[in-house]
Amino acid sequence: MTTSTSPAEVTVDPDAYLQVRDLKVQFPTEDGLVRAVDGVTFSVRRGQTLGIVGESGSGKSVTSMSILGLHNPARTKISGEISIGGTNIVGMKEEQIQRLRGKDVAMIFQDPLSALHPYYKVGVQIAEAYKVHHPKASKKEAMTRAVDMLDRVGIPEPQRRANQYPHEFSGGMRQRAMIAMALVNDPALLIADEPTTALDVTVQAQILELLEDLQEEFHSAIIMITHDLGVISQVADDVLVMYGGRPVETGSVEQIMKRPQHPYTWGLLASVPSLHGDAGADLVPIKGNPPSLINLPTGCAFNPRCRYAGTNGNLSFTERPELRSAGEAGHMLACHLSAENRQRIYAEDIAHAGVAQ
Amino acid sequence: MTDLADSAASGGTLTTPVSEPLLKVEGLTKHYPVRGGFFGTKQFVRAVENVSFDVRPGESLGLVGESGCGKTTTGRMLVRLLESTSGKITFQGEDITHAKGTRLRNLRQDIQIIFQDPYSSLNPRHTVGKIVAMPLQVNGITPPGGVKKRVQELLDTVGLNPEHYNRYPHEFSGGQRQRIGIARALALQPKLIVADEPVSALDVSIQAQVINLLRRLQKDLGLSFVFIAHDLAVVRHFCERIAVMYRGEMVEIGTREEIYERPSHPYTQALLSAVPDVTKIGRTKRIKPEGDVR
Ligand SMILES: Nc1ncnc2c1ncn2[C@@H]1O[C@H](COP(=O)(O)OP(=O)(O)O)[C@@H](O)[C@H]1O
Ligand SMILES: Nc1ncnc2c1ncn2[C@@H]1O[C@H](COP(=O)(O)OP(=O)(O)O)[C@@H](O)[C@H]1O
Ligand code: SF4
Ligand SMILES: [Mg+2]
Ligand SMILES: [Mg+2]
Repeated sequence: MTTSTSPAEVTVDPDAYLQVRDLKVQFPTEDGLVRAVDGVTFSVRRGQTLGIVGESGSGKSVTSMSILGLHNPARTKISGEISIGGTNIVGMKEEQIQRLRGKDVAMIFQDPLSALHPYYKVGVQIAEAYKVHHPKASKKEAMTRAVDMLDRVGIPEPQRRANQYPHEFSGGMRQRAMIAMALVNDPALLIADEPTTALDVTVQAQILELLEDLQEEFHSAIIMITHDLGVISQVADDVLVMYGGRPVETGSVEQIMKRPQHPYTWGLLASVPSLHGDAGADLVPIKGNPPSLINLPTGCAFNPRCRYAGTNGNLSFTERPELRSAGEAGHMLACHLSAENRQRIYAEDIAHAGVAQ
Repeated sequence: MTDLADSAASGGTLTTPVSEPLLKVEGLTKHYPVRGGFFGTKQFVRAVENVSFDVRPGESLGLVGESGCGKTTTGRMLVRLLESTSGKITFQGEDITHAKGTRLRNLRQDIQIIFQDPYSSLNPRHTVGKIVAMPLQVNGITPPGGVKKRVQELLDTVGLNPEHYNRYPHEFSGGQRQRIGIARALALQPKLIVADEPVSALDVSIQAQVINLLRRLQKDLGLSFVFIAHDLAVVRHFCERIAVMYRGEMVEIGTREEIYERPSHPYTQALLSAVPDVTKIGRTKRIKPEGDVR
């Protein structure tokens, strides 16, 4: 992902495989209009990984589902642009999107059982996924391809495993099978939505390694959605921090993890205990709870939970901060605090808490 | 450590001498019977096998390990929600392994449990006031100033608005519901709390709020904890000593420094090296455990 050095607005890398511009996704509901995603812009090149981080309800999954065209158009209002390999899919017909889905873009989820059908053998399902986009392939070719994929994702005895049902697989194995199915058509873009959240750390480590190896091999673009900052540090090249359906900070993984500028990013980092450092130091949590996306606070949506909301007079309560340069090239943030204030606060309040230590 | 225990003793809530463990677990074992084989022969899941540890007054002992290694089973045996297959549990010098009747009821005042899932552990049809008051009423305890006053104090202690006494669980967020569970556990002034993944279901900022609350309670009330979690960083932050479980067995127990700085068991080493380290950017080397692919 690249962002501009211009202080005024985010620009998109024109060469990137995925380009998302000012994406807005809204759901009209009985309780009111849910502004699940409210103006998100980013891009991902092939071979690169964009990490999207934020607490639950910040719009991460809604963003990723839009890229796959999975929202029901009758119940969703989508605007902006999602360009995949040069084709804008916003407003595209379902049949056209279906042609992209699974071939150019694939997705893996937290729960592999939502992608694997319980009644069919794993090999058959992967072969089917292949045949959808390779109608000329014979049954036998498709099955060979399925077994090959199971092997590639590190499943021992792939031939035998292909003939088993999903419930005969362990959690980690199921996750691998789902990845095999997602990658069977060599997608250029893979979206992984909390793919390891339900797994034990040793299995998570294997899956993350697998994704990195496959990325090297296929040169795919990856979007890794997670609430785990450790996972972000390990796999992301660039990071997008979301709050209340909007990006609040973006930049390289170095910039976000080592030189974070936004009070929300600070809050996340200061909330997570470290494997090193002083275990006696208290965490510095963000107070309160994430907002409802039906009724966001005016001004900066983070203001009820932000310790520094009063620092610039009334600005945090009256004016919504737009993304602008945080100083370094490629590092953007949406906050009214001045650079001097951010520097002072970070040194005084944040640098010694949680993993920010 | 010592001053925690001292302050608790001077507060008059603690009867055990500081040198004695509050809780002593020896050779604790649980085999779940399961049906298996062609003729429905009895087979067993060896969920917990020969586990031994102590918990000292005011101490927080962490229990870590991957899913299915027997953490919850161990915790439930400690609070006597599950009968052990064999082994011995001693609390304040008394054998409680098979405690029944009045003795068990008294024990339930001293040892409380909080659960991972703040949603399913609270009765949705009861108000928060009723939920937190329940342990008092079951045990026929009328605190000075009355039940309502005590419940409101408890709500205040855990950072909830005492005015919300008449609200229902669904009106609270996940983090607030976990606080309700904690208030309920505190109602009988327990000495030991078994916390089974108390923050695992919460978002990181809320998780940090609840961890800070538990740390404050431990300090202010001289509470002891058996703190069960799979998140190694959270356990390091909360616990002075840590026991590592693997496939029902305890493979290593030691101080925070011993476990995290100089782990001696290969499984502990593998587990720690698998945790993605927030402070390190890029791929990290990890130690692969035996029989790696799972
Ligand atoms: N189909 C839908 N109809 C109405 N609201 C929805 C729908 N899908 C998601 N939302 C709401 O949009 C917000 C963002 O959700 P999501 O993107 O799933 O968050 P997360 O960051 O946890 O992945 C949430 O408040 C969620 O309740
Ligand atoms: N009621 C039960 N009947 C049979 N097996 C059980 C039961 N409860 C747990 N187990 C098994 O015992 C083992 C330990 O489970 P548990 O204590 O829940 O582990 P953990 O909390 O560490 O994930 C697992 O193999 C689990 O499947
Ligand atoms: S704009 Fe104001 S309220 Fe929002 S993050 Fe910055 S300081 Fe906090
Ligand atoms: Mg989500
Ligand atoms: Mg458990």
